[in-house]
Amino acid sequence: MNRAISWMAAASGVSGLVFLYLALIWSPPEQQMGDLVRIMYFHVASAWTGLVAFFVTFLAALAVLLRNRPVWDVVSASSAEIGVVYTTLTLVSGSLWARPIWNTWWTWDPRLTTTLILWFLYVGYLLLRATLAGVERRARIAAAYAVVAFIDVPIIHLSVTWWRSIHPSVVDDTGFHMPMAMAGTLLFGFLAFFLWYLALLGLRVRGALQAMQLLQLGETIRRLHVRADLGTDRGR
Amino acid sequence: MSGMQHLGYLWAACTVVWGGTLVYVGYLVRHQRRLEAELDRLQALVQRLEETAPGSRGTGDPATD
Repeated sequence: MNRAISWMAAASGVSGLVFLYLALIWSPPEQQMGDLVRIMYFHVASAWTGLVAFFVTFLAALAVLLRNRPVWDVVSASSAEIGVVYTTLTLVSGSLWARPIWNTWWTWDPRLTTTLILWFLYVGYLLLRATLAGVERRARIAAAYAVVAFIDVPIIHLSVTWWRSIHPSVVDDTGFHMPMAMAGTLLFGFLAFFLWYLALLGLRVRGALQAMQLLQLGETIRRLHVRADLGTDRGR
Repeated sequence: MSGMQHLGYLWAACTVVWGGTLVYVGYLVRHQRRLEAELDRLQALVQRLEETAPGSRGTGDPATD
């Protein structure tokens, strides 16, 4: 696992640097927004990575409910944490893009609002996990919550068609609405962010498994202490 | 709005996204190092306890174990 994470980290680093070159230098400026359009590459790639992370959380949560294996709970929680990080970055970078384009840091647009709700839902998921006692009980309750919370993801996607929205929809069911150079940069950005996501997931899952190992060792030490105490009592 | 201001927003967004990612990586790596150190400490403790506990493979006598 260590070697896979190292390779993934190296690939993430290289693809991240190439993506920076493509986004900041190679891709053309847009006619109306000029260089500001380059924010899109970071903003959209973060948003997609967050959504992928929540999709993995959803699948792992289903696996917890159907198979009841602890490793899926670890994957679900790890992916949700990464999803919250990327959704936070999406909201902040979106705000930095909205200020010069819409002349406001925030507006209660359907897509922005549903994304903020998504952020609250998964912060709630992480808080819920922190408050539940019992490994198996926590896994099952958190999994049920994660499955229900995922309903917001398709709502975010459809929000621009269901309600009146000023949020641009650069990618929809009909394809990319931008020149090839920009679409290529955006796709490469998503690939780079996806590699980062995989490396982070590997690192986070490994940490969680080590934490479980620590708990087991703690239990072993407690048992050995009890045995040592019994031995001392018999000796008296 | 001037082009310089536009570039300011662009660099701010770029810094937020990459800086945020790197801060999270740093947090995970530091957390992992702490866990590994704690695991090593506890594994050494378990080994010591197993050697000295009654009924273990060792005799309990530091001179012969």
